Amino acid sequence: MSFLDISRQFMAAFLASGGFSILFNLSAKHLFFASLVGAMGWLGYQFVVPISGSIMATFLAAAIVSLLAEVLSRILKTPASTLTVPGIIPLVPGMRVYRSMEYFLHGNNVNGLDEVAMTLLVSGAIALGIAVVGSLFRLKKR
Amino acid sequence: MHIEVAKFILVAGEMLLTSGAEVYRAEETMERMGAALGYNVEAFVTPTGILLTVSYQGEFFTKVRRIRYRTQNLGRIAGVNAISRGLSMGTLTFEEAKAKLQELRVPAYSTGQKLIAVMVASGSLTFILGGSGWEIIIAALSGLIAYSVGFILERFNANSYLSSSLASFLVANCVYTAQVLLPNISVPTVLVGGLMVLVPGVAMASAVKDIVQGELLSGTSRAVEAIAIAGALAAGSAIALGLWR
Repeated sequence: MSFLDISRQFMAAFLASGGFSILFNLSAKHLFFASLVGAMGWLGYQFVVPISGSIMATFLAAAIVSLLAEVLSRILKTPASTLTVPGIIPLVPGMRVYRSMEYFLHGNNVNGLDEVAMTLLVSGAIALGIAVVGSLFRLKKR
Repeated sequence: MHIEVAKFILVAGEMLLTSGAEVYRAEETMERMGAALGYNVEAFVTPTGILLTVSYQGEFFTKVRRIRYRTQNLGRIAGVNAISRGLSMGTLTFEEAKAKLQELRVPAYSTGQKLIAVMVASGSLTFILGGSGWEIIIAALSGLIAYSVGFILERFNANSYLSSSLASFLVANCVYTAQVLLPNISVPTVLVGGLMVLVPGVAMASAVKDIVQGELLSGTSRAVEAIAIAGALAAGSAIALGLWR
C-alpha cells in the first residue's frame, strides 16, 4: 500500500468516526479526539491485516482504540467509552452481515453460516480488544 | 429536600441509561452523586428500569423509574459524568448541578448538522469498504434516507425494529434503482456504508462492557437487543433483495 492510499484510508476513517460522533451528540470539544482515535485504530488494522488476517487485526485495532481512548479520557476528563464508541465504527463488520444475509437468501446456508461465524468472531475481537485494555486501566491496588 | 435529592439522582441515572451508558456506570454515578450530597444511595439498575433508595438519618425514600427507550447520546453521558465529578470535588453546588442537568437536555447539534454528518460518515465508510466515485455519493444519500426514516418514525413512537427494517428496505430499493441507472456500482459496498448509521454498535459495546463488569443480566439483554436490531436491518434489505432478484 502506498503512502497516498494509507493517508486516504486514515482520512476516511477520521471522517467516519467524526460523523458518528456528531450523530451520537458528542460535544464539539471532544470531536477531534474521537475522530483521531477511530483513524488510528483503522490505521493499525490496515498495517496488521496483511500479516495476521482480519480477526487478529480487528482485535489489535480495537486494543489501540481502547488504549488511546483511556489515555485521552484521563486528559480530557470524560468517560473513555465516549471516545471508544465512535472509534470502533470503522471496524464494525457490516459487510460480513450483508454477505451472510445474501448467502442465506440464495439458499447457500453453509457459506451463510460461515459468514455469521466470522461476524461473531470479528465482533468478539472488537469487544475483547476494548475489554482487555479497559480492564488493565481499571486495576487498582488493594 | 430529601425528595429533591432523590429526584435529581434519579433523573441523572435515567439520562445515563437512556443515552446508552453501561449499567454499572449508571449505578456508580448515582451512588457517587448521593455520597457527594451526604446521602446514602443504593441503586439497582437494569436496561429497562431503575430502583433507587436514598437514605438519610434513618429515613428512606424509594423510587422506581421504568426506562422504555434507549438512544445513543455520548454528550449526555459525558455531561452527567462531569456533573458527578463536580459534585464530588465540591466545585458544584446542588442547585448548580440541577441547572446543569437540565441544560443537558438541549441537543448539541442541529438537525441540519446531523444530516451533513450522516452523509460524510456513510460516504467515508463506503470509501473504506473499497467504494469510489458514484458509490460514495449514493452511499451518502442512502445514509441520509436511512437516518431520516429513523428520525421521522421516532416522532410516531415507532419501535426500533420497525424503523430499522423499514429504513433498510427503502435504502436497499434506492440502491437497486441506482444500479439500474449506473450498472457499474457495487450494491453491497453502497448498502453497507449507507446502513451503518442504523447498526447498533454502541449497544453491542455497552453489552460487552457490562458483561465484563459482572452485570450479566444487563449485558445479555442489551446484546439480545443489538442482535435483534441487526436482524431487523438484514430482514429489511433481504426483502428488497428478494424483490429485485
